[in-house]
Amino acid sequence: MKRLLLVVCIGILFKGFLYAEERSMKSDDTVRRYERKAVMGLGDIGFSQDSVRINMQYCTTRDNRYRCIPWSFNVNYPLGYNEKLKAARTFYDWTITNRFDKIIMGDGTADMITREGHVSIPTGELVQYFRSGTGSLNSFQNRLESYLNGALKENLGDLLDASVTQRYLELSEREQETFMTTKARDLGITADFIRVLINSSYIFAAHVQPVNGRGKVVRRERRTVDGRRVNYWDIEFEIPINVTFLIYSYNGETRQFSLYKKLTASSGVVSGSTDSFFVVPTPSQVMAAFNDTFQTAIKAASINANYQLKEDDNFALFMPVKAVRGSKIETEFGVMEDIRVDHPFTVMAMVDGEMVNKGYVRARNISKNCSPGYNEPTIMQISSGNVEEYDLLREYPWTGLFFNLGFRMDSLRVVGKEGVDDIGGLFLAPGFHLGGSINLGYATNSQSLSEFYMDFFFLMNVGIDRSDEVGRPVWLGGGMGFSKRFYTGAAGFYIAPALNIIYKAGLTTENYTLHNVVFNPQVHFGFSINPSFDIVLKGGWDLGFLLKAEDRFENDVSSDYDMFAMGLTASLDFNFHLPIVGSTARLYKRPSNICLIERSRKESKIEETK
Amino acid sequence: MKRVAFLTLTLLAVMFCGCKSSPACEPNLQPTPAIYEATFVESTSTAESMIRASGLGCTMEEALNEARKTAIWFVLEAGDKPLLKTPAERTRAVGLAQQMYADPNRYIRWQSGLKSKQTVGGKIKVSYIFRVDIAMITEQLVANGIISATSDLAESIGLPTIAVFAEKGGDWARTAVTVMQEYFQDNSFEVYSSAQIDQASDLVSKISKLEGAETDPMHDMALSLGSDIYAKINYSGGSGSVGGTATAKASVAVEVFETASGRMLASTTGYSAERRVSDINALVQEATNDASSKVISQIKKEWIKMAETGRPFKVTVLSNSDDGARVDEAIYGMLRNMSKRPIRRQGGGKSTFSYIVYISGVDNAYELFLNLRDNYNGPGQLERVSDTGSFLVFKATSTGEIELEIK
Repeated sequence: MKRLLLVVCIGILFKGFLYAEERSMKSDDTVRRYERKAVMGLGDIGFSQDSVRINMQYCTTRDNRYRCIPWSFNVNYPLGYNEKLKAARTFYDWTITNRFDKIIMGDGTADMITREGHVSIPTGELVQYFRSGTGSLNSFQNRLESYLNGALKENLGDLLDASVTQRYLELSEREQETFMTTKARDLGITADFIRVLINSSYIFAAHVQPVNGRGKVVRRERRTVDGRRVNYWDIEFEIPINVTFLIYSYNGETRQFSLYKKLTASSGVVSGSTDSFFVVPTPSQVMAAFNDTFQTAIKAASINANYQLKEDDNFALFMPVKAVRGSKIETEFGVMEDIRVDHPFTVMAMVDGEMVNKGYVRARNISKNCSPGYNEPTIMQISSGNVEEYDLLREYPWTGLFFNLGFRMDSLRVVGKEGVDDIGGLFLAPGFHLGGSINLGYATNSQSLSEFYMDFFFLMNVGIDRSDEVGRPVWLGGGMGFSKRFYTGAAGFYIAPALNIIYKAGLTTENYTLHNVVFNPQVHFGFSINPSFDIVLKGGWDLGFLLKAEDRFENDVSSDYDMFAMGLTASLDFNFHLPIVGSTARLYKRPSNICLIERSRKESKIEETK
Repeated sequence: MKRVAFLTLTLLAVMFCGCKSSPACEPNLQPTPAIYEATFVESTSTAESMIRASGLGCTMEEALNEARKTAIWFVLEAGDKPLLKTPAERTRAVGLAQQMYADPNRYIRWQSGLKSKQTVGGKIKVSYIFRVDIAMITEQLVANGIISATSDLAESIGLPTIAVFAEKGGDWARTAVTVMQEYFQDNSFEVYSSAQIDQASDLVSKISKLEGAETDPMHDMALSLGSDIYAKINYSGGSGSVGGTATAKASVAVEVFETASGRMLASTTGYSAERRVSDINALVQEATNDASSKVISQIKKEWIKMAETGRPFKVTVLSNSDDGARVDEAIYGMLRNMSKRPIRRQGGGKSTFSYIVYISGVDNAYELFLNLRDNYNGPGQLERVSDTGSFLVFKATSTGEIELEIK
């Protein structure tokens, strides 16, 4: 019975193969389209250690001094079955997205997620569970291969073969006007087609390299309104995770699993900190903070793996342009292929025998193609280039995150009252800023945030102007901002209104210190050479508020200056795409689950009518 | 200042316009297709075939229409079985072909999704697969007197009669024979069932023995049946496996001969795809379909030629040693005057003689016998023994005695 159930479920799993065709009928690469693939992920991911241990430090900061000593509590996070399965779900949620029909094999159960829904079924002893053990990548790989071509081959190979008929029955007849359907419908499935079906199956396994993180509890001090000094505590972690994904393909003819690809995905350094505690944090609070950061690191590594997978033509989306309407195009794929808002695609075409890039488009309204019959297209905007009907779209591997480097000129002037020298202003203050920029539409997969970018940065300027009394100012600061891009024409140019909020601290050569909060409305004129690289000219106006000014004797001299500090700003920025998302992984929302919601709604309605 | 303003305006114009100019594309104004790239995919029925064709145009619509024109052109003039087989037919068809190119949709029953798209020399080149109604095109060509209808063929040289035999391949070959017979019947050939006979007649066997050379038993059976043409079918199959799935494939070889002369008229092999099937007969049918469309075209082409070069007859004369030499001389002389091609003498002896002759204007062997009888000036008289299709046997003796024993 279990076997029957599993066969039926695997049949359901693989029935998305709608586009395979007879060889003689097949389209060539100029109009290729993604074919849904069946992917199995092994729930028991491999770790190089049986637990994550982090020696915590206890740090104190007072009067600009920072001191750390070992703390009494150390993190010890066991990597048992539940922890591994939890990590596996994160890995596979982000790496094997909706575009795959997937089955996650657990111990005695299999979670199957297909276009039609999600089902958990007991596998019992039918499919032997893979135990990853603890050890190096090599030993993990050896164990995995002997499992795949031993225990699993016998069971799964038969099941994959058995699923062929089910998958064939779902074959679209759109392209099957051949002899087979017109004269002898019952002829049977061609060997070519069986090969397509069986050989489109992949097994994913993940191995996590040694996790070495840093963690500390930091005691800080601040003054209350009435001038008292009080302590508060923060918990801070930095955890980088590197995961090796081993992807095996099933060769239906030799009935062997062979290594198709090895990806090493990196989370980057993922930092995590908590809201401040007013007493020393308890071990459970520390563990909660660790767990949050650890899961974010797993998510960040998975996003990087997903990015790398899209670099592979076999896993990337390809589809022809269905229609061109002005600056918009229509395509058939949608949420079921995990197209996210602002997702960029390269437009390609075969020109005089060579495949050339014609430009780029970005997804705007994503089709909710939860069922095969859904006919609303995904709308994409042409951001650069010339697109024609049936040009080929290729998914552009992208995370929506950029490293930003800008060379800036500011003229912020703090105006002195009644004979007091101004600081800055008359002459420009050249400098630079470094930071990141993230596309919120893509990260949150939200249409309302389409082409909204969030910037975060640190800056430094050196004033050229020099006052006899206070000297030359050096400005240091940091801030964040938001911008909304509007692409103009099809040459890659865009214009973006923006607003930055910056905290700027100024230190002069005569040891004056200044503290400002600056609101900086800007206009950006950008040129997107490709989705990985932008050049942006930014112009804006600093509207600053002087918070505090101290002279070289630490006397408060704020009253000597105007409250408003203003000036022009301009910068030339370069945005470089980042495939590793690090701590920004927190901003990323899962692929659309609208189909799941719609399905649940329908099911509950059916229940109600019963 | 003006220069700065000008540069700024130019930059803004480029930013907001993003326009580009492209060289003008000239559409194909000729009625004929812009390119001639097409391949035969498969024969879906006796009336329709799948053709993969390409078209070149300035727009997708134009390129698609051009691809349709290319598909029609392929059916008319290209491939290994064009409807227009001779230069004369092609010349006569120019006007009608242009009408067909002007409205190719009339002849297309189904069109696939886009199979290929590329830009070549500034134009869009696309490929599609079309199911073309060949029967309708053929009808129009016949109606306009461009090609002969099968009935015309029958009027001019008579309908060829065909016998189909399974040579190797057991039951699967017999399935192929049935399918092939269906195809011949669909194409207005008269089919003699090989089931009517399981061995050659005594007369044919003896004559063959006398001729000495090792003869094909199927040829002898065709002679016995009286068919003008006979086809031999050989089946061979193979099996394989994909994953745990057992698969099979079939190939069917067809050889077609003139019965009278034994000359090969056509030969081809059809293949099925490798499939998982529960019944091999389905694969045999697929392979036979593939072969039959090719072979029928070849037969028709050869049969049309016969209208000009004469229809083959095998003439066997039975006599005795005394009259043999004179009979042979008289018959050979008559036949040489009637045959459009050199007469081929087959083995014989002093009393029995066989000839292969090509004669036009004679519908059957009996009519040929009457002609010969009326003009015979050798010893004795001619007495008909047998006439079946293209095979005529008669006695010519002064005494009424022949040396060959006939049951």
